[in-house]
Amino acid sequence: MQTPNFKGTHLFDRLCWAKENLDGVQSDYRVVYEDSIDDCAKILVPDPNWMACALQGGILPPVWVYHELAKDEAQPDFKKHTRGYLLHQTEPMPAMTEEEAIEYLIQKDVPQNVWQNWDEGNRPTMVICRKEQLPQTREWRNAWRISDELAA
Amino acid sequence: MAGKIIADTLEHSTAGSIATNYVVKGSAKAWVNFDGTGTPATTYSFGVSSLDDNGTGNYDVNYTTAFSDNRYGAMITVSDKPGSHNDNIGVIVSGSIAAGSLRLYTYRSSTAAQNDLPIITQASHGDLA
Repeated sequence: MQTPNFKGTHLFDRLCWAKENLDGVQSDYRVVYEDSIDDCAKILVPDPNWMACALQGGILPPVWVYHELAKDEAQPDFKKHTRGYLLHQTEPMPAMTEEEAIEYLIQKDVPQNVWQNWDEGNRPTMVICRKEQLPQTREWRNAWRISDELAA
Repeated sequence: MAGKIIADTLEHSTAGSIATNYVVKGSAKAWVNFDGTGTPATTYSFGVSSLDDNGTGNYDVNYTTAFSDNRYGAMITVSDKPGSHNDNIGVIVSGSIAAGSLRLYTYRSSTAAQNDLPIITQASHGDLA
């Protein structure tokens, strides 16, 4: 199915179109990351409807738009977003592969200090894996860390 | 776009009328239903880009469309088995709400311990950025 020309269309309306016309895609990829030495490993789970939008193309804004909004929100005097138009008026991203979509999602939803420096320490603080590689039960979930086996 | 209807008011034959901006502004802008046990996965959703599994009974919902600020309405319902005795609660605290995401917690109420649950539904209402 061809994506309509959505440039200038509100992102909410694009997502409504996608919900009605695209089947969700359950990705097998998971992103495991550690953003604090005191916390257990976190696991990023891609949303199936979002993944369908990424694979379809012409719906999602470029990831830099989210970074611009995050910069605004980090300002001490932030009250309300005034540059939301970036989400709606910026040329949408073309179709991505599943791997490209995961890279995009990492840059959107994983803290910047993790994805910018994930391999600069003694051990990686972020790993992309298949869900089958994760423990199948949640025993000791609050003690999970990235194992050497997973990092390799 | 094909099939577009432009209207400012919806009118019912007996129940009165309502301006369509109430419908547009009042709709949930994002919602998600997911299984928080095992390897968490989304069952149904809208307007969500990903979930973060942060630990036992601790999850983040990340939105595709950011809200205009962090003062939107966020609701949660949880269950371990619909229709049966339910000893669980879901919690969202205002300090964990950001324009582009929120954090939610699930608990077993009788022990006040965080607990993973198979049915977690969260919906957010408010103005988008």
